[in-house]
Amino acid sequence: MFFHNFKYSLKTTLKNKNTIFWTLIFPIALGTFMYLAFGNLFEDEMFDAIPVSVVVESENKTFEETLKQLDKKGEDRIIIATYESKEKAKKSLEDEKVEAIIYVDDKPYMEVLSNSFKATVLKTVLEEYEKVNKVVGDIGEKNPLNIGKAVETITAGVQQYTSKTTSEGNQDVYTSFFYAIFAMSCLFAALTANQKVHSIQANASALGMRRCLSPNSKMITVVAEFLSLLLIQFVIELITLGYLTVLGVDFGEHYFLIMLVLLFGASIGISLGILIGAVVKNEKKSEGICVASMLFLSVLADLMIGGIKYTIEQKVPILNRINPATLIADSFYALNIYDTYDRYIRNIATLGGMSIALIVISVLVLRRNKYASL
Amino acid sequence: MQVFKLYMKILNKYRGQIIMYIGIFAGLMFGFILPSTDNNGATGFTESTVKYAIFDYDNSVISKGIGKFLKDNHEIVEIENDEKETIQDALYNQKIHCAIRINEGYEEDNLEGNGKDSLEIYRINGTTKSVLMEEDINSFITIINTYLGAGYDSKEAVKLALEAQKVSVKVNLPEGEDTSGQSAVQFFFRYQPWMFIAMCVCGITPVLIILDKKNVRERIECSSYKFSKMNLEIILGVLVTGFAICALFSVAGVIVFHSEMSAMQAVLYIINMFCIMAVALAITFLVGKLTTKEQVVSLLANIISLGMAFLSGVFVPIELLSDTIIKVAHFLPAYWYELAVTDIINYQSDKLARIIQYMGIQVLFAIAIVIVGVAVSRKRLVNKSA
Repeated sequence: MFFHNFKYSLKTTLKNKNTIFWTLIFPIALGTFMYLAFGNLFEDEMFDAIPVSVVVESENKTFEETLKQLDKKGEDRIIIATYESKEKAKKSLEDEKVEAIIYVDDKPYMEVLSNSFKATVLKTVLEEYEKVNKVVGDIGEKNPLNIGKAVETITAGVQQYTSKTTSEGNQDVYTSFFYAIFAMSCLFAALTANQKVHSIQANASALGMRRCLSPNSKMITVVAEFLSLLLIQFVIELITLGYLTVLGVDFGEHYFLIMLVLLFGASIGISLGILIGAVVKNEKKSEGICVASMLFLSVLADLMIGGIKYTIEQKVPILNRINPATLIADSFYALNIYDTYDRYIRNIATLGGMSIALIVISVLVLRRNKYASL
Repeated sequence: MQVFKLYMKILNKYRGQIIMYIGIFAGLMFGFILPSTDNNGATGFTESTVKYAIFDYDNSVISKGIGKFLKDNHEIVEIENDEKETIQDALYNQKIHCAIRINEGYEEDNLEGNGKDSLEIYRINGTTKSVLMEEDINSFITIINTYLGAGYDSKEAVKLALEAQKVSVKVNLPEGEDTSGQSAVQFFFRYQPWMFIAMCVCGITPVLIILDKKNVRERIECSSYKFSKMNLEIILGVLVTGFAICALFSVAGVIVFHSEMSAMQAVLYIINMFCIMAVALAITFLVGKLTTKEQVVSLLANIISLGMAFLSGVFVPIELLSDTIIKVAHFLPAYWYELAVTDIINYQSDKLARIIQYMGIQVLFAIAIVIVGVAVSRKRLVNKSA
């Protein structure tokens, strides 16, 4: 009986081509839009040698030598200097061909179009030259015997700290928007599930009346509907994952485990839809509740503004432990960033546990209903 | 006004969708955006600061000196602990850009020339912010070590190194440049295309679909009600809904941000808001003609509203979008809305003509979308009758 139900549930869902099409297009279209919008943002945050125009107003050999050192080709290159006249330099700055104009003078100074981190890096580098002059001057004045050692120390360019990284994974914060798309797409499976569950309730639809006449256990009916929807939604998520990977989104290397997240994610979306449909008999109302709650949960998982999930983690962490959208997005993050699987397993276990609990509650709500009149 | 009343009755059943979007927007605005925006209106060049957390286990003269130097020049942020996972989460979510750990015995190690191993900087490798922080810390410690090498003790070396930081280089910034960053008022108006489109499509389209249902339409048509009157009342209902939403946001915007905008700016913001609402209503009409399934309406509403928001500068500021995207964005009405908002923020009378032009483009988009909707509707009618 189970397979019969499963087969027909699968058939009826697949016949609804319009819904299937839009359910598939939904994450793919959003993913494409986000990819186009965020494509280069993280790369823009990475440091590259800064193009600058250099204008010599009066000779300053030491400073020009410093600029040459900063312009030396290699990994540590700070600036790409172009020596030009003041007029040309201003034009280059206005056309945004360069980040700043550096004026060589007794007291070097610079000009920029707007505040930026790159402008601050340049200012720091110019100040470095002034600081060296001051420190060497100070020591020369008060401890002239040590001036040689001082110059040696300050110009040696020794690294004074150890650089550490916390992960070898993809640190691009904008990838979290793609994690949120998967979360939203999985949760929106609730809409189809909601529609399906109305079709098995006698007091919700005519089809439900007919189906309730059969001597079918509600457990079997619900589980068959659940599994057929899960299969379809899972395939949709896999197609989306494949598409976004081909597009160039870096989800890391653990694709099998990502597929598991999608499976559990789709299952939580469907079970939520089944529960909402079981509790709220009015189809329009329950559909509205589905859209509202799934969108709200996705917003909390960084769908529109980055950092919301993290802020919630600081203030109300329990919300992140139970919000299915956050659990899905966080599983992607944990897989991509951490070497250990503790966080991933915790998220997956919560999603699985919640799905089972929701299905059980739904069956309890739906089973053994008696109607005085319909 | 029977049909108008019917429209309002059905809309009332879908008010939840509209209220939900207002709720999400209000939650984002008051929960996350207003507390995080810093609109100090600074002018002239201001140095960009790096957000950092520091864990000083040495508590020595030099480590405290480093702490003071960083506090004077960058923005200190507290995080719960210095465990790897906590630092990683804070770095990824940009709560901090660097975490600095000064291990016990740092000062002694530094005096012996091995300070490097006792001072750890956690950062996302290669970002401009991490380069800035590393440059700063390296320069400060090098200066301390220079003084130490010249015979000064730790206390004097730190004091002189801090004094050396007062050296500053002049930076020229053209006058009139807005350097205050994103303000809350900007967020308030920038997010409206997303919200209006999502809200109208989710809230109004289902009403139009119901009114367009064969049996409902035929029942009305067989009454003495004129066909044109029925359509006019539906259009009136849609326009009243749009007007009510705009009025609500205009009042809210003026109450919350009255001190941050002039009367002229307020008027322009509101007119611009009505223009994008016209677009939202036109899209609502088109979606109503494209599908009859409410479930698909929800998906379409999100694809159109979020898609346009990502590509037009709603969620990502226009200046950060690539040239190709900006070219594509020219074909999206929300892009022109955002351009108008940018000009209104830095309003000067010479920008008025351009702002009106941007508003006009939005209205033209709205008309074009309605024409497409009518064409789709006609095609469907022809198909049905065939």
